[in-house]
Amino acid sequence: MNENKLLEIKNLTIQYKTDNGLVHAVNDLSLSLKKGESLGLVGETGAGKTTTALGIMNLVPDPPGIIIGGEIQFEGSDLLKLSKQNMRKVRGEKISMVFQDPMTSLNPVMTVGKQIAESVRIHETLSRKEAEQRAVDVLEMVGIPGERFNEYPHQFSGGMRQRVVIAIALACRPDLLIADEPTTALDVTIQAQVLDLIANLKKEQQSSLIMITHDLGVVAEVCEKVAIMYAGRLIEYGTLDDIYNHTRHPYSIGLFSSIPSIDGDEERLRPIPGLMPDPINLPKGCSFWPRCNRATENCKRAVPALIESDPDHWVRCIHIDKAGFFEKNAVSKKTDTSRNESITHTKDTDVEIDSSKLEESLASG
Amino acid sequence: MLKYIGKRFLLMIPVLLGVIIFVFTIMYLTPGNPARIMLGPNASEEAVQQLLEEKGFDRPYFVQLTDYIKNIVLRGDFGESFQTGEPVLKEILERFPTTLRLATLSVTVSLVFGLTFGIISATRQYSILDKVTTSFALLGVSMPSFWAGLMATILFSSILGWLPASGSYGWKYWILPPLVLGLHSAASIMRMTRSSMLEVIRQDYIRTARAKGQTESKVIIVHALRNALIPVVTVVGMQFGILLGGSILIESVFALPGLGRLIIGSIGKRDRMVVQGGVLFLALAFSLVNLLVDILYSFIDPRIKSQYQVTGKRRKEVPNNVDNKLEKQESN
Repeated sequence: MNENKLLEIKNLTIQYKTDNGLVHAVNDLSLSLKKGESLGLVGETGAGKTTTALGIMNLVPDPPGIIIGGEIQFEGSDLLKLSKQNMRKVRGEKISMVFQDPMTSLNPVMTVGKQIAESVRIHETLSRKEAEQRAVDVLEMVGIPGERFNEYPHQFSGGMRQRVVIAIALACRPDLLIADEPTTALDVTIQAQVLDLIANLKKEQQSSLIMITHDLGVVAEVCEKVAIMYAGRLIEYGTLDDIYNHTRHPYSIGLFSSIPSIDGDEERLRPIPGLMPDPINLPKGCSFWPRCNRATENCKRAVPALIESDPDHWVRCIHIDKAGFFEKNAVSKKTDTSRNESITHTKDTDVEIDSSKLEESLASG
Repeated sequence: MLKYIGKRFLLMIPVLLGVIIFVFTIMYLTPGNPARIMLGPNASEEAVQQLLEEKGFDRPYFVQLTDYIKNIVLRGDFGESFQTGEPVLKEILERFPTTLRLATLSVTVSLVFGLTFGIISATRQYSILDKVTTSFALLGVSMPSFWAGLMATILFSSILGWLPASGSYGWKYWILPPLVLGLHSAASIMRMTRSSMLEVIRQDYIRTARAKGQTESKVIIVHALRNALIPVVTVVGMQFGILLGGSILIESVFALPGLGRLIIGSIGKRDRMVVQGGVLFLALAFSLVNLLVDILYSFIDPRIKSQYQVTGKRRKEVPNNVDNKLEKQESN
C-alpha cells in the first residue's frame, strides 16, 4: 500500500436484504484517500453515500445490511477483517463520524459533557476528572462554553447540538473524520458556521475528511477531491478543479446545470429528468442510461469501466475517450428543450452532434 | 420540582374525597342493617333499634356522610368493624404488611424477569431465543393468575410436595405466590420492554454510541435502556398499584391474610366501615404509587423534569451571544 494513503477502499459491495428484494446500495466501489486530504462524496439521496460511510465504520445495520465483498484498507489493515474488539478501537479513536441529524444523534437522557467524556474514556486511560476536563476543552474548541457541560441535548439548539456531535467525533483526535451531511438539517447561516468549524478543526488536527453531501456548494468550500456517486457506483472522481471546471460525466454535467445561477435570468429550474433507478432493480449496463441524453444501445450492455480522462480524473462513461472528450456519433444535443424528448427516444436512436459544440457547452458550464 | 410534588399532593385531596363519597354512597345503598349484623340474627328487634340509634345509623345520609368525613379528617378515625368491633384502621394496618410484601416481592420478580428477557429478546430480535421468550410471554399474559396459581399449587404442593400450598407461616410460604403473580406481570413488562427497546435501538443516538467505539453491552445498558424505560415504568407502576389493591384472587388461592381478602370478606358480610376504609386506603396507595411513577419519570428523562420546572421561573437564559463569541474565536 502506498505510504501516503490513509484509506483505500477496493471493490466494496454492500447490499440490504428486504422483503421486496435485494437492495444494491453500494456496488463495486473503490476509493482512496491520502493523509490530510478532504474528499467530498456527492450524490443524490439513495446513491449509497451513507452506506459507504457506515461500511467504513463497520456499522451497516445488520440485518438487513450485508457487506458482500471488498476491502477497506486503513493504516495497513483491512477494516472488514478486524475482530469486533479491534474494530471498536478504530471507531471513535481513528475514524469518527458526524451524523446527519443533530436533533436525533445525541442521547437525550445523558448530559452532553458525559457523552463527550464517554468517547474519551473508551479510548484513553484517563480518570473521570481528566476525561471531563478534556470534554470541557473540546466543548470550548467547538465554541460552546464549558459551563454547559452538565446540560442535556434538549437545552441546545440544532446548530449547537451539531457542534456537540462534532465535539464527540473530534474528542480523540481521529485520523479520519467522516461527516455525513453534517449541515443538511441546519439552516443556512448555521451551515456556514459548522462548515467553517469542521474545516478549521480539520486543519488544526491534521486529520483527513470525507464530507458526504448532496450540496455541491459545500464540497467547493471544504474539499480538495470530489467523488460523485450514482446508484451505488462511483461515476466521476477527481480534484475539485477537475470536477467543477472539467465536468465529464453526463450525470455530473446534469448536476451542475441544475444549479440555478445567481446572475442568470432563469425562470425555471433545470432538474435532471427522471428518478434514480430502483436500487432493487438496477438497469443493466450503465445505471444512468435511462436518464441520460447521450444513452446508446452500447450503454445498456455492460457497466462502463472507470476511464482516466485526465491525470487522476476518472470517469465511468463509455462515451468518454482518454482525452476526456465525448466520442463521435454518441452524443445528443444538450439543450434544455430537447432533453425531455431525448430521454425517451435516445433509448433506441442515436442523435448526432459534433463534438466541438459539446466542448463548448462543457466549457461554459 | 418540590413545588410540583406539593401540587400533586394537593390534587390527591379531591380524588380521595371523591372516592370516600362514592364508596360511602354505594355502601349506604347496599341492603343490610348494620346493627343486625353486629348483634347477629338472634338479637331482639328492640336491641337492634337501640344500637342503631346509639351508633347513629338511623340518621340521614348527609349527616352520616359528613360525620364520617369529619371523623377521618379531624381524628383519623375510620369507624369500627361491625364484626369485630375493632377500629377499621387497625384492621387495615394489620393486613397491609402482607399485601405490601406480596406486591413488592411480585414486582421484584416481574422486574427481574421482564426486563432481562425483554432486553434479550429485543437485542436478538427474531432469534430462536426471542421467539421462545415472546411465546412464553404471550402464554403468561393469557393465563389468568388464579388459574396459574391453582396449577402451581397442584404441581409444587400436591404432586411434588416441595412447597406449602397455603397460609403464611415462614419464608417457604412466600415463594409460590410472588412467583405466580410476578411471572404473570413479568409477561406484560417483558413485552413492553421488548417493543420499547426495539424502538430505541434503531435511534440515531445508539448509532452514535456505537460509532464512539462503545462496547455493545454498554450501548444497550447505558444508552438504550434508560431511554426505553419510560413506558416500562408506567406499566410497572400500574401493576404495583393494582397489586397493592390486594391481589384478591391470589390471596384467596394461597390463603394469605392480605388486604384484598379483608375487603372481599367485609363486602360479603356487609361490613360497611371496613369496606369504606379499605377502599379509601387502596385509593391512597394507588395515588401515591402514581405520584412516585411521575417523579421517577423526571429522574429518567431530563426533558420531563424540565417540563415540571417550567412553572414561573425559567432556566437561566443562555446568552445568545455564544455563537457570536464563537465566530470571534474562529476569526482569531
